[in-house]
Amino acid sequence: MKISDDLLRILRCPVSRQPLRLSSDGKWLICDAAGLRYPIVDDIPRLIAEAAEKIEEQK
Amino acid sequence: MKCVVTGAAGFIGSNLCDRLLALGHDVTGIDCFTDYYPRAHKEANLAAARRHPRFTFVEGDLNALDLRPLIGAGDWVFHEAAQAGVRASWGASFQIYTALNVDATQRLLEACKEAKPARIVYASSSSVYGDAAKFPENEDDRPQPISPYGVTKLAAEHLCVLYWKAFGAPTVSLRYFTVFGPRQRPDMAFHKWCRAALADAELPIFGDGEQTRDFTYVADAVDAIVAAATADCVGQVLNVGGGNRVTVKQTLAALAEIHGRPLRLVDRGAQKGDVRHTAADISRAERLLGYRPKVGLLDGLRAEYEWIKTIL
Repeated sequence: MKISDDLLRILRCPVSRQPLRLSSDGKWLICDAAGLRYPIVDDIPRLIAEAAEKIEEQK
Repeated sequence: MKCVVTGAAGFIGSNLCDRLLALGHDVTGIDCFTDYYPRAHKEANLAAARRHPRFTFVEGDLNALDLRPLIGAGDWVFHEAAQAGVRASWGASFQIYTALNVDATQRLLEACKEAKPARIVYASSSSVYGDAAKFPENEDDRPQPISPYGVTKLAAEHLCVLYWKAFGAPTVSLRYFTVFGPRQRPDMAFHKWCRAALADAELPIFGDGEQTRDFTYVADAVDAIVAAATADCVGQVLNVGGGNRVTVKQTLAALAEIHGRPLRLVDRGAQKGDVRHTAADISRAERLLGYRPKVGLLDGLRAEYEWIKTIL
């Protein structure tokens, strides 16, 4: 079960309500508006607050 | 048909996902993996569905997710997500129950109001009846829950009816009566008893053993849920019982028969919030859903016992 385009199309950031994009390595869903990324673990998008990371912290 | 199943990793939700996929439907599952019981159990519940090409899954909280894009016009929405547990719903934890059972349902219904799915099937509970004045319990009886959990399930049921009347959201609520079978939650009696029997450990018994439950096998409950997606039952509240009303003592005797050895029973006393008896009048579900429970207590309990053997 991979993140399909159809699923990506209907997922929104729980914080900003904006669409998400897949990171280049396919391991994260990124919300540019909120500056957050959500992990994809075992092909499951984890759209929960505890799993979200601020993108700045990773730089 | 495209289906959305909330609480997809739970006991009934995961069994429902498997059935919908087997029937050829597309399923999007949502679950937030509440910590009421270990995540590993729920991930195991989902294992078969996750291998299916028509299954997608999102880990998310119904109180935070943007639900509107997840639901398409004409979809079937099955709302199985809830904070379970009668005994744990007292005290400070009540806020968890109002958030996950009432607020989450209201958010889902708001999304459905706009999305216009073909049907919204809500998982209610026999706990809304409380200690009923008469048996069997009929949908027209006045619900009087005796646990905070039951209060939240009833509140969400009222929301479903309200959104149908106010906005035409095509809801139907199913009051499940003590569902059992493979993947039953580890806090539920049959699960604990089977596990204890197989480990030759003590079995905790709450109350005097003469309390009765109308036990419903999970595949029968799923029959009712799937039927409710298409039947002429919008706006209704329907009992889903199994026709297996027996005492706790009789259930333990059945388990001892399956186990082939005596059980080590330990009296833990009555628990606040536990109802004394449940018995479902299922005539309305029979009439509107064509519902006919097929699996008796002994066969269903044996299936659960055999499943628990595989997870020990």
